[in-house]
Amino acid sequence: MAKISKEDFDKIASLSKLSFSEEERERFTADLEQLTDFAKSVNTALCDETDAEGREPGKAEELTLEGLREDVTASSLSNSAALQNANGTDGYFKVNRVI
Amino acid sequence: MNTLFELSEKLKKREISSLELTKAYIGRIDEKNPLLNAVVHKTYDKALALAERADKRLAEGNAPLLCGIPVLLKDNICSEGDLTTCCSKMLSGYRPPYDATAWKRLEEQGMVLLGKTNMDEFAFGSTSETSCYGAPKNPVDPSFITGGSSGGSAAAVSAGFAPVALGSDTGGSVRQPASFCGVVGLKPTYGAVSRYGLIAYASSFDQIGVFAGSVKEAGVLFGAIRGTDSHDMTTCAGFYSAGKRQDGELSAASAGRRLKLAIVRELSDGIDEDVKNTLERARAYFSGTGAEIAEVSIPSLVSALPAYYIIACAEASSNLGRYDGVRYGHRAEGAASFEELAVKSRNEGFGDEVKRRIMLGTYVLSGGYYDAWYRKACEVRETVARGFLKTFEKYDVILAPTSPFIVPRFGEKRGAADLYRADMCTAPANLSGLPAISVPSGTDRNGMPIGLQIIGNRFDEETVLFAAEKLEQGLKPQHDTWGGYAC
Amino acid sequence: MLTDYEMVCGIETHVELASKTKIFCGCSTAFGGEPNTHCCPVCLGLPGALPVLSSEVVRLAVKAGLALNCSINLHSHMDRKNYTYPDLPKAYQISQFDEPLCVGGFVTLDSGKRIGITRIHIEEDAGKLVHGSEGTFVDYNRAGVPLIEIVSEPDISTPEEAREYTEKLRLIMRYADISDCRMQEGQMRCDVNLSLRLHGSDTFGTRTETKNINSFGNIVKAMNLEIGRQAAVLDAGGTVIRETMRYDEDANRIVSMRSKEGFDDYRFFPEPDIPRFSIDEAEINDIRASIPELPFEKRERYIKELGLSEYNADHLYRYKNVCAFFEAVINTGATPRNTANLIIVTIFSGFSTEGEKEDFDIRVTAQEMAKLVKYLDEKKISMQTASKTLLSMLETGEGADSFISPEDLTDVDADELLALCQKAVEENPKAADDVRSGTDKAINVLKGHVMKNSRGRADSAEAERIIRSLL
Repeated sequence: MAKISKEDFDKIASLSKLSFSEEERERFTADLEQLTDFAKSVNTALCDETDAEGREPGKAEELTLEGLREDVTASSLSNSAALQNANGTDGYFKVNRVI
Repeated sequence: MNTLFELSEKLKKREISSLELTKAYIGRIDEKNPLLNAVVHKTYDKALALAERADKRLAEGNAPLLCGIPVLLKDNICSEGDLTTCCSKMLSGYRPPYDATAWKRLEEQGMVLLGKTNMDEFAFGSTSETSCYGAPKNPVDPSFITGGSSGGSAAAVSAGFAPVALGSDTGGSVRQPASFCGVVGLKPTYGAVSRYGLIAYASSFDQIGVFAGSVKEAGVLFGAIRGTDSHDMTTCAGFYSAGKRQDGELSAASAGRRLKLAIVRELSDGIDEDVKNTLERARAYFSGTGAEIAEVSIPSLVSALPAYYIIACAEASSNLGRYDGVRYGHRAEGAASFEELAVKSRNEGFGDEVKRRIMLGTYVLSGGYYDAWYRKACEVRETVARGFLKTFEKYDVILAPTSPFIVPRFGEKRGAADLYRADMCTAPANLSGLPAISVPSGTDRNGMPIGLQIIGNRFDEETVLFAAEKLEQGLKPQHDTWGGYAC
Repeated sequence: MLTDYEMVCGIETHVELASKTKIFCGCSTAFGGEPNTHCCPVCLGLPGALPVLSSEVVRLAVKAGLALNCSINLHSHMDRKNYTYPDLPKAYQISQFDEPLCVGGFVTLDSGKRIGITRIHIEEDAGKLVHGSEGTFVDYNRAGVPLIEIVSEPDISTPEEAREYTEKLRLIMRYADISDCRMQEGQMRCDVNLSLRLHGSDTFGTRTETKNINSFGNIVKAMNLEIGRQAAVLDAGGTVIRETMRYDEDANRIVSMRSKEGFDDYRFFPEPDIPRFSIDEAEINDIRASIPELPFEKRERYIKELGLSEYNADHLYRYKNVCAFFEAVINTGATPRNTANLIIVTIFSGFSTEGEKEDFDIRVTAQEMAKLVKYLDEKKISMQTASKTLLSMLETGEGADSFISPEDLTDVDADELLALCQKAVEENPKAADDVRSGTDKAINVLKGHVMKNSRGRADSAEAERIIRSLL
């Protein structure tokens, strides 16, 4: 089973915006290793089946410009609706100091 | 238990009002939910108001079939002003300022919203045990799990809390709990139903699905929620021409010709004995009706489950990045900086399974790993899609198990590998965006329900429902309904 | 020593597109507005909301690509760029990573040197952070505003070239109605990547990125500071660290924002909520046809076809509204030279900022201007009179005829002119003597007398000829 280094784990945790205690780190590293072990068969999966007619059923149909949204304004939320689930101040969302 | 059609008749004939019907269902929920824990948020005030409005419409005459009929939504489907929390502490207290399109369409039909149902946190799971409100219990026998992630909706319909309910299916989350709770669960073609207002797990797999007591009822709900939506670019018109398949051929139902079913070897690999026997009975039944039924192989399916997990977790890790406590949801106290606020809120708000999948998703997308994992998984996905396409050239639908295991009891030891294998029969349909339905087809050695799947080609819900109805007729369990269980 | 090094520089420019709505939702892109009032579930990134791409944004981006000589990718898609920051509601920015809409263009500097453009892609803007004493506040009105990111090749060699390149970019964006590029509203922001290397070296030095410079003056100042800083580091035998810098406008210093060995792992992957999209040749041709004559083409035409001097052409071509006015006037038949002169000498004299020239908000219509210029063309009035009249017109908004009476417009005939000249000589004996004795300048006194008494109607050259013959 491929090992995940402490550095790798910490990097992933940082990107995921999660932090773990020592005990948790051990546990989650083991879980992650088990998961990657389970999933690793894709690395060597044979993907040589090509469709005789060149069809790509897995790919969604491409949109043309006409299929995109027109530049027409729609109503926005009121300020109170936008802030209703948050800690607002004077119509702004509040965050602690950004370093 | 009354079907949609029976209820609709009674409402139209004014034998019962929507208000009375709603109060009856509310009564049933209040009575049985403390044990079953299927409903996590109640929207009774809204329900009564909607019922009154429905009654006015019914009095005027010409009301749609669904008018005045109660429904439940999984706790990840937004309804304006109602608690919608994905059964996670991360979204505690969240009330969306907008409606999901699928719910809006039902509301326009006059349906009455009773509440939100229990689920695995953020839909990550197949047992509903990761819910922050505790697991729902199986109405057939509460010592057994409901399955997941839409366990609450499945249990609710099974227990008669509403005739129908909506759930979501990303890797089997509608079909599997439907199978475990003895009800019908339909996952539409990817793109058939708008995802606007469905809180995202894996964007290229998620679909809102339907729970009902019968295939016909599921079909009615599907008809009410499906269709393109200007709020969701992944919805497409597909091919709804009555009677025709994607390739222009007449569907089996319309052509009146005999059905051609395939049983895919890789989807029945290593399944439980009781499940195998049910599948065998289904095969014998279809054979007996004159349908053609044969075993086929789609070799690429061997890698389907790992590919599904890689892509699903990758998308999920990205979709869940937004939960940082600033605009909604759980906001940690005592954080000095934004960075600290985000990390602390997420650590406190997310459960372990969510953290695991986020970490895996971040890992497979991160520098150096993208090509080996994510890109490769996408190639597998494309190969699987081609495999299905080839199969559907020769066959109308695929007959398969829904779950490789029988319903587990609470507390049963299950290995981690098993947890992921739970999706092996269902995830391939998500991987290729195919419509699939689970139909109650038998019971296991514990007396618990076993469902079987009908999987069809993209946008061929018509044939899927046609075949599913046949299966339902043939293997209908001995009891009339699953309602009024041991609970 | 600074002179030991040469600079290699590339600039990434973010331009806000001039569409009415945001890139993925129907919220308004209008600037200003109370905080968090131009938001919806989509641009706030509320759970369950989904992006819906605007066709106008794609069109404007293609237009920008064509105006900058790029090739357009007929097939394209969006990608997610994942990172966490409070101004980014979804914790990912929907952008384009490996399949940008436009590739391979250029901008030509006055020297003839071409600055290559690597790519142009579309993406969404983030919200705005406001720093206060009790914390940081966020306004998401700007979140989702459509941007194009224009990435140049590292072809820029001096801060002056950088300035010229960005000024030309801005001119083209404004001309083609792709963006108003109002700098004070942050509609155009530049990130400058620069490194130093010894002259003649062919390897690249380590580069730093100075982000979000929002004025041309600051580009030059910031670059000079950074070049100086890097040179000092290299002179001392150190190595330049790959980092992000910030230009502190008030203190005029360059400050490091964060020092990183690597850079953010953005975990790019294709945006699953937005299908691939394509554009065909016919649509591209329509867009190409909608691009007006671009500034440099206009300048060339003014000089070669309309006969304007380079000086005059240079003073007109960069202002879209001025050119529109100028062209409307000459379309009625007024001469380009006189029209241009009056605009540049008279109208511009009333402006003190570039902004006023760009807005060109004047009370004179093209028709009225044309009338005035025609009087001048037909020599019915002198340049001096025309200028004075124009000033009155600008001030009052009234037409030329309010200030010029019919008699003023009659030509001075030969007899009247002779009489005027004789009178001038009679009434200015000293000046007449001065001219006779060699002080030629004094003729201006006599000429001036004639012009004054004819109320500017007399032909100045002819008057001079007659006066000389009288003396």
